[in-house]
Amino acid sequence: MIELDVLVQALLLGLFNSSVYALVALGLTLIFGVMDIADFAQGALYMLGAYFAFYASQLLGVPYFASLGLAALGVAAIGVLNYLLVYRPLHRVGGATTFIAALGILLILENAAIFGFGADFRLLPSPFGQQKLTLGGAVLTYHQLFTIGMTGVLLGAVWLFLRRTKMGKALRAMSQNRDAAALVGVEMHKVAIITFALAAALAGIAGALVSPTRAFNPTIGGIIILKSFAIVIFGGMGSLKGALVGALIIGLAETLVAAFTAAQYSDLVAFGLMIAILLVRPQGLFGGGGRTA
Amino acid sequence: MTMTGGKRGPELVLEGVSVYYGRVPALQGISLRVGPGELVALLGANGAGKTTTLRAISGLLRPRSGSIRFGERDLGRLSPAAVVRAGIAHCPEGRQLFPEMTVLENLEMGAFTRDDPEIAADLDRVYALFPRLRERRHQRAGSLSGGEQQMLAIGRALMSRPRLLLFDEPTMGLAPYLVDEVTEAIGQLHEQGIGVLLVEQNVHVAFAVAERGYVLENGRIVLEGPIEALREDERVKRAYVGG
Ligand SMILES: Nc1ncnc2c1ncn2[C@@H]1O[C@H](COP(=O)(O)OP(=O)(O)OP(=O)(O)O)[C@@H](O)[C@H]1O
Ligand SMILES: [Mg+2]
Repeated sequence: MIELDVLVQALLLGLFNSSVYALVALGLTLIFGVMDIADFAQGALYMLGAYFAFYASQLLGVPYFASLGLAALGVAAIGVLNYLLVYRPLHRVGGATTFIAALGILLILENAAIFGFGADFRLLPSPFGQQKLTLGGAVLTYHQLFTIGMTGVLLGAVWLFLRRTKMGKALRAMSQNRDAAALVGVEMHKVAIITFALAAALAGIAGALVSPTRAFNPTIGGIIILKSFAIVIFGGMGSLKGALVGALIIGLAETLVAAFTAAQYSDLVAFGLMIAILLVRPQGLFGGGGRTA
Repeated sequence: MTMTGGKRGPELVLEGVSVYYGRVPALQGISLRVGPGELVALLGANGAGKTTTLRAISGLLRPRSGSIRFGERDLGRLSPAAVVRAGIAHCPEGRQLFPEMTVLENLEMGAFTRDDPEIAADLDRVYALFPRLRERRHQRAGSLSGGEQQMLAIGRALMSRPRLLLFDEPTMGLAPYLVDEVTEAIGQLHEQGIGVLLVEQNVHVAFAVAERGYVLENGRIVLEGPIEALREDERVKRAYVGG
């Protein structure tokens, strides 16, 4: 007999968990769709987002909400630099080289962060303090609720950008047919910069949003990017819908498994589901047809 | 009113253009020209280099040597976007639509380089040319039939207001009545003063609308002249069974 409180608690935490995955996976799938790059360096950008928020509020005294914006901007700049300095020069070479370069950037940024910030775990105080929402026997902190809400707002904004703006449509066009996009006059280079900036900003905000909830150090990027990548594969490489539905399913499944079996199994969920779907549907849940619908 | 606003474009001139894929030559010093408002056919068997020629003109491929000029402009140095802005639209082989976008969005993408108030009027002109596109404007491009997709590809190319249109096998895979419809549309565009470089495997289409033609073989131009002369040429007859 399943205890209701345990179930509600797992679902609430799962929603928070899914929100973080959704932000990172969305950026990954955008970059994959538009650029054909599996950008593992996004993991480091997530980590740097947490440090941006931490130093902005602890050293500079910037209010937490403003530090989210700073994290987005700062990390977006680093994401664009990755493209200009590494991916763009390598683009002619293509394939495996780009992938190794992405792992290289992840490791370099991680080590630079250890060197610069130290390897100690940190936690940022939440602007909401310890306030909690109680639903029967289940609790969720205001900060976790805020993270879920912010994710909703950001996903809506990205959706509007992709649907309504000329640049957003150019981005979708390029991910659906690169040659055709060039032939109608889309400037590939400009779209690439926007894509990297947008994806990095999302990863940076995700890191900054989580920094008051989960203790972080420079190595947190590796596991989140592996799982987000599993989510992107699960949902279908390059598919936006796939990344979001995948984040929801895997985020919820993880907390449910942790609640009803044992916490150490939850890390297996993302990879287990990824392998399961690859066996039945190699193109992923929403993959195959077009991308970035 | 026409899709060109009445202005004829400059002349397209290729001189000694060579294009390589890695070390393999695909074009070996070809020269051709398309005069203002002229309709020129580029014929040739599979693998002759027709698509390569069009891709070099639109800036998707860089010639290793030779020059591609459109009036005063040196296209050899321009990005594909700059070539579109110069007034050349490319309706590519295999249609190459944006499959997850609607018909309307595909047409809007065709006007991507533009920022003028006449885009809506040009949209109406495309719908007048292909009424079926209007009916299907909110449908995903990927869900259209082959003929409708080809009309959309042509419509999208028109939305940039080109003065020169490059067509790469626009009738490929179409039912005979659709071949006629597309051929007629190309003829109409030509009558409006748009220059056309038409790549066709279906020589009947090329013979029906073109004024002049070139025959490409293994990356070289082996024959050129008025379309009537090509029609009678034994080499062309041999190259195209039933041609
Ligand atoms: N991306 C590529 N890489 C390497 N070789 C290529 C590439 N594209 C074309 N080729 C080669 O270049 C030559 C010319 O090809 P092209 O596509 O221009 O021919 P085509 O005349 O358009 O043929 P078709 O009628 O089949 O469309 C062919 O030998 C082809 O195999
Ligand atoms: Mg071809």
